[in-house]
Amino acid sequence: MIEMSSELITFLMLGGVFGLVLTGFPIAFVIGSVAFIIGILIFGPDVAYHIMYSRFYGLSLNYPYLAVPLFTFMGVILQHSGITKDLYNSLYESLGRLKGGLAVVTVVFGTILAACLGVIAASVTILTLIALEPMIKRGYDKPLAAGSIVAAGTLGILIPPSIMLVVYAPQAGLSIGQMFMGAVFPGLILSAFYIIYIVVRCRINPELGPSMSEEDITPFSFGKMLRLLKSMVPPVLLIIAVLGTIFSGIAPPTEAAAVGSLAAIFLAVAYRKFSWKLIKHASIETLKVSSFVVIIAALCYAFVGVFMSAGCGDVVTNLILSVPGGRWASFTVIMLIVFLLGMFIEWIGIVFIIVPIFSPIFIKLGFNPLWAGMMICINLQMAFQTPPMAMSIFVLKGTADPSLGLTMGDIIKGVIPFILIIMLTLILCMFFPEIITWLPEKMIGPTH
Amino acid sequence: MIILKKILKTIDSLSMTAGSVGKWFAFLLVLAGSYDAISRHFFNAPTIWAYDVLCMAGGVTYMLGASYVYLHDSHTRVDIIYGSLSKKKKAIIDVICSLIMFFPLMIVMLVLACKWALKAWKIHEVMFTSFWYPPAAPYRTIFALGLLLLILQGIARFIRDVYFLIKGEAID
Repeated sequence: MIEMSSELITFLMLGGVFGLVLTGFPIAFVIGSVAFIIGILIFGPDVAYHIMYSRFYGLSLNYPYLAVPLFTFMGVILQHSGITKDLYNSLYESLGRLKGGLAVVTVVFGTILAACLGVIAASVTILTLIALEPMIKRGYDKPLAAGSIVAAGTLGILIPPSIMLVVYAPQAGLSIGQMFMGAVFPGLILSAFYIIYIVVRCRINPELGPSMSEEDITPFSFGKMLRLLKSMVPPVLLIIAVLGTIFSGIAPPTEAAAVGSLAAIFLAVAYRKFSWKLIKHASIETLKVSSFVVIIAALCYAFVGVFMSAGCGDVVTNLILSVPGGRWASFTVIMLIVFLLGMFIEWIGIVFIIVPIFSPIFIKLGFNPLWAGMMICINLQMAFQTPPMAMSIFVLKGTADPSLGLTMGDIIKGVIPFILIIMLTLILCMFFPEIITWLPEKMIGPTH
Repeated sequence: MIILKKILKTIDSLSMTAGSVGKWFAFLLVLAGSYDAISRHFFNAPTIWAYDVLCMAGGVTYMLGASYVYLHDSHTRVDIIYGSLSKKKKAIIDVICSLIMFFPLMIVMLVLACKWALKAWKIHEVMFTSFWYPPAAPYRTIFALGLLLLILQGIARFIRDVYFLIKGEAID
C-alpha cells in the first residue's frame, strides 16, 4: 500500500480516466481498471477487489435501472410498429403548408416521439428515416433540416420517459418520478423555442424552407382533421399509459416501462406489424443496449466507490467551493465542466462519475437538488450534439441515406443555433427555477 | 492454424448463443413486469416473486449480453483519435490496452465471482432483497459465467489482433 495525498489520488483517477479513454479502448474497462489499479495501490488488493466486486455485482441486480432495458424494448417495438409513420404523414398534411413547415413538423413529431421513447438513438433514427428525405427533396436548407432532426431527436432523452433521467435520479438520491415531472416543462420550452427559431428564420429567408407547391396544397377538410386526430390516438394512449402510471403513483417507472412495452406490442398487433421476428429483434436490441449501459454503470459505480473511499470527493468539493464569486460562480464552473466533458465523453460516463461527486456540492451550496440535477440534464442535451463526441450527430449521419448528400459540415453547421437555444433555456431556468420545480411540487410536494 | 480458427469460431458461437439465450430474459422482463403491475393494481394481488425475478432477469440479460456486445464491438469507445487510425494501429492499441485494462480486472472479477458462486451453493445463500428469499446461487453462477464468456471473447479478440499484427492479414 502506498501513502498518497487525496489530492494526488483525485488527479490520478480523474486524469487517468480522461487520458486513457482517448486510447479508444471501451470506456467501461478503462474506468474499471483505473479504479482497480489505484484501489490496489492505496487500499491493498483484498480491499480493492472487494469494493470492485461487490459494487459490480450489486449494480447488476439494481431495480430502478431495469427501466433501461424496458424502455429500450418499448422503443424498438414502436419504431417498427407503423404508428410513427402514420403520425408523421398526418402532421405533414396539416402543417406542411407553412414556410419551414416540414422542419416544424419534425420538431413536433420529435417532441411526441420523445414522450413515447426514452432512448435517444431510437428518436433520431426514426426522425432521420421518416423526416429527412421529405425536407431535402423539397429543397430545404440542409443544415436547417439536419439541425432540426438532431435537436428534436435529442429531446427524446430529456422529455420523459428518458433513460438518462432513470440513470441520473437514483445516483443523486432523487426519485425517478420527480425527475420525470421536472423535465416536462424544460422539454416543452425547448421544443417551443426550436419551432419559433425555425419559423422566424424561414420568414426572414424563405429559401431555407420553401412551402409546398400550389398543386400539392389540399384545402382544409374535415377528413384531414380526423386523420390527424386518429393518428394521435395511439401515441397519446401510450403516453397516458406510461407517464400517467408514473405521475399518478400507480407504479414505479420500472413497471410502467414494462406495461408500456406490453402496450407497444398490442399497438404493433393492431397495426398488423406484429411478428415473432419483431419480438426477437426487440429483445436482442434491448440486450445490446442495456448490457453496455449497465456494464459501464457497474464499473463506474465501482470507480466511484474507490474514489469516495479515498477521500477524493472532498477534494473536488473543496476545489469547487473555493471558486471565487460565491455559489453561482461555483455552479457555473460545474456547468462548464459538464459541457466540456460532454464534447468528449459519452453521457453515460459523465452521469455515472460526475453525479455522485457533484450532487453533495449542490446541497452544500444550498441549491435545490432536483433543480440542479435537471440543469445538468438539460446541459447534457448539448453533449449529444457537440462534436467530436456527439451521439445524435453520429446516429443521423449513420442512418441518413447517402444519396441525400448530407455532409458532416452541414450537420454541425445546423446544430449550432440549436445549441445556443439550449444555453438560452438554461439561463431561463436559472432565473425562473419554477419551470423545473413547479410540476413536481404540485404533484408530489416540496422538492427540497 | 486450423485449430486456432476453430477455437475462435467456438468462442464466437458461444457469445452468439449467450446473446440469443439472454435476449429471452429481456422479454421475460416485459412479461413479468407487466404481470406484476397489472395483478397488483387491478386485482390487488401483488406477487411476492416479481421484484427478485425482475432484478435477476435484468442481471442475466446484462451479463449474458456482455460477451455478445464485445463480439460485435459495441462497447462504447471514445473514438476521436481511435476512429481515424489505421487497422494496424488500432490492433496495437487494443493489444496493449487489453493486457493492462481488460484481462487483469476481469480475471480478478471472475475469480471472485466463482468463489462467491461456490460459496452460495455450499451454504445455500438466499437473497434478502424481498420476502421471497430466493436462492442466490443460480444468479451468482450466471454472473460468473457471463464474466467467463466476456473474458473468452476478449481472448479471441486478442488472438485476432496479434495474428493481424504478425501476419498483416485477418485470420478469418
